[in-house]
Amino acid sequence: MKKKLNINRTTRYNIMLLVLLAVLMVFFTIQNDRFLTLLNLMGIVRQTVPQALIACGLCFVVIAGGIDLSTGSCMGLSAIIYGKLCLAGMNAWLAVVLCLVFGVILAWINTVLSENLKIPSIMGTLATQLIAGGAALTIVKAIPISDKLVKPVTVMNQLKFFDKKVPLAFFIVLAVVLVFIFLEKKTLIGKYALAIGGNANAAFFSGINVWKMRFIFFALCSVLSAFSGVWMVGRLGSADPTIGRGMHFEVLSACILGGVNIKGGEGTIIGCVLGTYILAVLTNGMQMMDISSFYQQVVIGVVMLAALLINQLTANRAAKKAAIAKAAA
Amino acid sequence: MSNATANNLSKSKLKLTMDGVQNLAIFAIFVVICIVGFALEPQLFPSKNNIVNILVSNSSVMIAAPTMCFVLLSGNLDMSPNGVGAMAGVLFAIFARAGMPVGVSAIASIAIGAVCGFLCGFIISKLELPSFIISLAFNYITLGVALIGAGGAIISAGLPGNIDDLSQTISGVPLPVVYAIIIVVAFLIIQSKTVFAREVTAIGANSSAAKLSGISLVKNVSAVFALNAIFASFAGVLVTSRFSVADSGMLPGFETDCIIACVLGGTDINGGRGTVFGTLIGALIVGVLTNIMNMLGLVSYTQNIVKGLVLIGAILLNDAIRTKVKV
Amino acid sequence: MSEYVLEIKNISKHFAGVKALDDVSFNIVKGSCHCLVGENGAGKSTLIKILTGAHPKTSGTVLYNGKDFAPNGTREAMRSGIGCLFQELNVVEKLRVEENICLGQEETKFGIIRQKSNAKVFEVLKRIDPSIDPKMLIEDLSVAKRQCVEMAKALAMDSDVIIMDEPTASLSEEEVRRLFKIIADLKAQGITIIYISHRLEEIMELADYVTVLRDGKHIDTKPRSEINTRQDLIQMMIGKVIVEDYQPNDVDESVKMIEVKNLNNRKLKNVNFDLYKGEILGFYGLIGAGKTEIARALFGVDPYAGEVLVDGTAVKTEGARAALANGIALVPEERRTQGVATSLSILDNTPMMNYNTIATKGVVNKKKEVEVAQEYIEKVGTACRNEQQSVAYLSGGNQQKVVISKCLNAHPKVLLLDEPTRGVDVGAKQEIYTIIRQLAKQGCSIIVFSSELPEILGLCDRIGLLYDGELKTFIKNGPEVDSQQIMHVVTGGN
Repeated sequence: MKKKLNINRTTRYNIMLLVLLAVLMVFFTIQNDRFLTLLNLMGIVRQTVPQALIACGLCFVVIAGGIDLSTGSCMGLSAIIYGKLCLAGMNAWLAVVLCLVFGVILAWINTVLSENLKIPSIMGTLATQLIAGGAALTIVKAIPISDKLVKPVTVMNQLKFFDKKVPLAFFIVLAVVLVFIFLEKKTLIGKYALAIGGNANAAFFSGINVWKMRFIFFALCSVLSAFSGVWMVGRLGSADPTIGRGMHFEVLSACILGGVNIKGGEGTIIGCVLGTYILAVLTNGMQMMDISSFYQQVVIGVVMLAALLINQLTANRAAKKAAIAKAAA
Repeated sequence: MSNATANNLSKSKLKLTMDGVQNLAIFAIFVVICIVGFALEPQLFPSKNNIVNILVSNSSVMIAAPTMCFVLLSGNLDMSPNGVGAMAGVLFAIFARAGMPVGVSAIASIAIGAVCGFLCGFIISKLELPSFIISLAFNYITLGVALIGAGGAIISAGLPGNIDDLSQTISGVPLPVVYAIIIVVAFLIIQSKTVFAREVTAIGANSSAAKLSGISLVKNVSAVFALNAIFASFAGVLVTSRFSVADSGMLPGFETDCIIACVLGGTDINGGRGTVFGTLIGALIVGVLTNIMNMLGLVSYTQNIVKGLVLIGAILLNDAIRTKVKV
Repeated sequence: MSEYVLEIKNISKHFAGVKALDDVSFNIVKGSCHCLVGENGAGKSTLIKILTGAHPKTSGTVLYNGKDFAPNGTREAMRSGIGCLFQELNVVEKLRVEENICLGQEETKFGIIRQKSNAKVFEVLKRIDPSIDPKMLIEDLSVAKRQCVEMAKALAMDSDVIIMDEPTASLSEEEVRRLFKIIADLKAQGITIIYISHRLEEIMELADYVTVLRDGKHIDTKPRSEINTRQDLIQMMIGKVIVEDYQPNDVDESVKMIEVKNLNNRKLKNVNFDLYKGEILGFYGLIGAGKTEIARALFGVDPYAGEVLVDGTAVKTEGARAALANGIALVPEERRTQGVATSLSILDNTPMMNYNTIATKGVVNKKKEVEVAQEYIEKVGTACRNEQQSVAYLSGGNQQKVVISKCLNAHPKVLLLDEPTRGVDVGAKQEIYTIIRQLAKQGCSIIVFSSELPEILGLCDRIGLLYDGELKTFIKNGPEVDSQQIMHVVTGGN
């Protein structure tokens, strides 16, 4: 065999996403010279903290062959738990920690539903979505908590570094993405997610504890969702139970666009992050072009469909190629 | 050998089927819930007003749930009724506002919805892509079209006065309830009497066996999604007509409600098993539960908690029946 | 320490009344290549499943390195040192070679994988195939190399016994050579290989010892040196096949139901044959010889090049629907995944190939539906409570009868049966044979694809012998047929 530059399909897809992101950015820069400013770019990052964080968490869940539809409701309920704890006089930062603990509990419930009760995760997490979302609204009777006791976390949104140009959000997202790439490449989490979702038999015979891994995947996803809920309280200045509404689909779309196979066994953190920012840039750029925000939904849907079709057709071609190569041998 | 079988066949008069057991169980639960309702509010609950109220507020789900049952039967999921319904509702208002007769507007908007559903099913079956995610993409697109059509607000001004013709109340019975009943009955017959239903069930039960039996996946799955889109659209049109307002957020959580009705009625989310009758009872259970909760003063968002719990309970009950009852 | 790594003593295994293994005893010498041979259904795979812990044994003992060995599941067997290469590969495509080899036993600290564990991977992989780069993704490797990775994985688990079940089924000649070299190397390192294959020349080349199983019984275990020719092996494998129940059919050789000319596809090489009216034609060959491929091509579900004439007219069948319209029906190889929908009732399964018998213009006549289901239950003698019974709760033989009912309901002129009695108990087997004979008497033409010689010899008027996608020869069935000659041809001899 000749030695050639070995770029596999996954890498190729990620490069395609990167090129797409670049093309979009060039396009919007041409349309509006305010687009490619640090201020605007940092604005995009700040607005999409929940999307970026949860996409990282959801990535492993879906690669391992599951799904989590409870992320949005988890955000909402977490925000309310935070608000209520603050009202009760608890230290705000301790309350944040307890919110993360809530995320772990939700993940445990999701794991029990899917692994012990054998309810497909699409239905199990749909149920927890309804329950958590309903609980958030019920606790506060649908009225946001805007007491000043919940304000301490707004500092997260306001903090800026380097001449007050780079917001804390940027560092948080960067840190989480880097940690997740590390988890993906260097730890059992990334390897076992691919194994469980890619070949359940191989995972079983290799002695992988599927329950434990599934719990870890759900927990990463829920903890980041819970944190995102608190983050949104910081941004809005009040604990609103509708925080995170629709987020579960939005994040899922970003992951799918990022090349995660909804059937499991395929996907990368980088892809998910790129997917998130492609959608974010699209939204932002269209806003700057004064295109009504209603078009964004359509664009998201079309982009998702296109990504799925491209991925499927290239996969088919790759399979055909392999078959031909085998026949030739 | 064949004599023995012949004897066996003639002897067993009562033929218990798994679906029968399932429907019996779900119907028993429905009765229990009704009794609870009756016990809580002996006067209010069984009143004609209340029953009509339950039926009207559930008419949308009852209209689209039978076809959702077919989607699940074929082993797929459809996440797009919310978007398709809203799009059809908004288009209906736009057409009517532009001066088209109400009936024509309704048919045109439903037809557009049907095309979307057909396309969705075609992509799913032709390219063998997962239905959940493809229909989700269609949900985005159609919901977006609804938002654009309504200009991000609601359409109420300029609608013809007779737009509520479709959803009038005739001698105490609101038309949406009549439609719902007609549709449910029609699908009861379709499920029991047509080859189409048999083929869809076969595909959901074992798609390779169905394929090797000469059953066309593309044709049937596309048809199922198109049908579901038609009735989701019809629900959207009716809501618009009933309130004389078109709003892109007119059917929040519609797909979830339809899926819950199906699952509650014993439909297997993995395909191949489920009945329209069960789905009807499932929808009614949700309706009666909601009604009881309303009477108890629980607000709608609290009811979501109950819905979630009921969904888990229903799936567990289905599993239990399927593994314990050996018919 | 004894010289035996595995001592198998009086092992029996019963499946729902069927004896898959009957009092089997033999020993396996440490560091040898021990070959298991036997026809399909001889009990090889059952024995393997017991050794790898996939099935518990009914009775008997296995000593592994002198100690009692009764693994609770495959995982435990693998951990204790018995590795297995399954026919379906257990590797994760999106992981690298080294990651696959280490999967489940990575050296970690707080879940972080330590790099130095790779030293072992390099060493193990070098022993197997130095040309594989441990950094490669599995999806970029050929089937042969994926197998090597699995072997390396077994070695990395410190296995001292590696079971290989038909490892050469999808390998090229060159790859087979390399595999044999690897096996020789492994033996030199004191590792025992249990090798299962239908290709007798491989056995003759590789084996140190050969154990022959037939009908679940242990026939003999001999050192390779005591076996002179393939014929000896064949004789042990098939014993005496008695063709007492073959009854010739009324074949009308003037009417050709099917003419196949130059059928070619990925597996098949220039297959030509005719099928006459009322004839039962048999295709015999071992696993991978191309039987299923012929059946699927004729049924129009696999692409092919070449010409197929049905009843004298050329047809280009694309899809099952077209084949059924041409009067061809198929009983597929895999009953549970391709034949019946197990969650549905007999009533629902029976009309699947032809709804016209129960419906007019798409509307089902419910009375007719029940009648049709009952008619076929009686016709083929399906033992069931009634037509509403779920197929899941029928025995294998009765499930197969439901598949046959489904095909008969399509009123085929030609019925293709791919492994019609696989996993079917003896009684039901005979009933299925009776059904097939009756059909032929009624003028239906039948092709039976089977890897069981007694089945072919008991049923068929003419037998086509397949080896590696080629139709080697046709022989006329009768009392004078030499079963050993047949075996010779289908194992690659001339």
